[in-house]
Amino acid sequence: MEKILEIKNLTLNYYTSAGKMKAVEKVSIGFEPAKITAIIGESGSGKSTLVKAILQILPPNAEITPESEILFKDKNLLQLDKEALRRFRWREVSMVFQNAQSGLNPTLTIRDQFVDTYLAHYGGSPKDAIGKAEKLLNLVKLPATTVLSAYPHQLSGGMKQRVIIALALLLDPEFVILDEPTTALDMLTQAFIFDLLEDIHKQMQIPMILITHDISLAAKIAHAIGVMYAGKIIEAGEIEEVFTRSIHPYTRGLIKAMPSLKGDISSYSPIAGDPPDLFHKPSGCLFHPRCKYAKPLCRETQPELIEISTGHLVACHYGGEVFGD
Amino acid sequence: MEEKFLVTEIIVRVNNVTIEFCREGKRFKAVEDVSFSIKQGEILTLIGESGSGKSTIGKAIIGINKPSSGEVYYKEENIFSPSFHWTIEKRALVQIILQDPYASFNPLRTIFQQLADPLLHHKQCKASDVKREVAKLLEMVTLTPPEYFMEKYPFQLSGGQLQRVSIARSTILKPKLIIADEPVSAVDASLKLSILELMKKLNQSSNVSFLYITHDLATARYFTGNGRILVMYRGRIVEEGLVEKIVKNPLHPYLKALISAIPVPDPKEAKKKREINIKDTEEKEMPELTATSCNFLSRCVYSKEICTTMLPQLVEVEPVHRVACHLVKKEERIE
Repeated sequence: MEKILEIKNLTLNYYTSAGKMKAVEKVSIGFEPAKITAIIGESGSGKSTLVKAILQILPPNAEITPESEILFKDKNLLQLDKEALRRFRWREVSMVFQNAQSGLNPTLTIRDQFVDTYLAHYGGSPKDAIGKAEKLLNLVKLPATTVLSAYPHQLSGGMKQRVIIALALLLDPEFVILDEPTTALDMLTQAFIFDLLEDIHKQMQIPMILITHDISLAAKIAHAIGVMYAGKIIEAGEIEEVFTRSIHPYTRGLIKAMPSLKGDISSYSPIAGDPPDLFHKPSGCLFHPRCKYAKPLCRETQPELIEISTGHLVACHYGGEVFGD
Repeated sequence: MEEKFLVTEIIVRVNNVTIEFCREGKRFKAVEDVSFSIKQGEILTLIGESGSGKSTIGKAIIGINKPSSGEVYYKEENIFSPSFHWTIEKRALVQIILQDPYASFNPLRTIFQQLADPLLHHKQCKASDVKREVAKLLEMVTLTPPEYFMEKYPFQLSGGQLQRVSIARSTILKPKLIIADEPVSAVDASLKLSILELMKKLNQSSNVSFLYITHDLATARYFTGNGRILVMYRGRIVEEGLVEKIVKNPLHPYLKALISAIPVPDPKEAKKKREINIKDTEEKEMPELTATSCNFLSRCVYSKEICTTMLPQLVEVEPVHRVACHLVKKEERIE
């Protein structure tokens, strides 16, 4: 399958006062056109860093190693100059940031924020920008006239998140990144936002990346999934394949640790232990200290991500074997 | 003596509590006529969206929010009565775990200092034993080896680890009730269950009651087990019952909508089209509440004439299952 966006061998380090931290380590993953791919993982797993690398909106202490490549329609994004990047951002790939509460400028009206974004990345006249904004606000089911003249604090969390989604679609991007679009929102609001995203995707067929730590949200909307742990992709594939035939003990643990309204509550079980300290990553397989199946080999060698069946990738030494439960 | 024993079974009783706040120059009721009681060893869950008043009640129980009418009783004493005095013993009775652990610890002091202070101040142990006691607390919440965590500052721990420290801290004074106000909503999905399980174990081992405040019905179902759940909507309790029963057979239109909105961790099931029968209006667009109509009116898709003229009261439809909705009739219930 052809890929619209491809990350190859991406390694990204942060330099901090406590030393060098490998936030993303040799990650390769491709994204197909017209599909939604979920990247799931806990905080510190590198999922947000990964997508920030695509737009290159990383903090100054981040360093991408020279062998890394991010290909979007055959151009390497890591080699774009400042001006090319400015034209690329938002027009080709846009992003819905996490935390709607701080994603908007509190001192500008929603109208100004639409106009500013339009002029900065596209040009044209403010009138065009407002016309486009009105259309998009209707698309996200907001009353355009009242919302455009409002300041962010006059809108509720759910409304702000809708504004941010409309803003991400302002320049007809070819790719949209959703970074935890519903954290801190209520369940009903979350459900409506996800219905909206589903509708938008159906209408426009825009490929999307959904970053989340909630595996149920991935199940709801995504076609493909990549599971990250401590800076590495440890399992990836079609969503149904990964859910029904998950292999990596971490993925299996995540699915079991997700409380829902279905099933016996005694069938849930938490994942033991804590996420690893990224400054002192464990030897061998990064998950081995928390893995109940770990064997001596897991402590010594890091497993490679290998294709176990068509399109289903797993990084586990014992991936081919079926675990006891 | 025996009589007294029976009475003390109820630890905290909230009686017809109404709490008002001022916003943009107008008074509004954050909590309206809410009553419930918590028994020794019970897990009670308060669920609702933001602004429903669930945290406001939690704060009323520890004496922070003063009700404009109604009472909060610790055993038989009204904590808002002028004759009530907050003694150390009474403060110790109810403890709270807050949502954001980073905001509920002093960032400049180590974990050891922050756990040792209350132990010493409340004379829970001798100064020479304090290190051992802190180690015990950390071990209880599976932060091992404890010596490693004692010397850390809050920012050096992950959200899940720090939340476990706040659970440990809440047990220092051996409270009868712990209010857990959204304890896992800032914690990663993979760690939520382990934190809830920790609190469950605490409940079983020391018989401490929990008031679990949350907006997440799935974690509520896991944590509440066979306990009761109270569903709040805009300041009022709209439904109350045993958690398993309520999830299988919700009666109030709000709870029905909420249940249909919860994602299922199964891609086939989750992608099926589902109806959420509620008006998709945001909080900011909602009309003011009146005393003569249902609080849920502006979002209800089933509303009838009576809903605009009368506030529904909480009525029992079957044992331990109460609902405040005009459209739920007893006879419909039985079929």
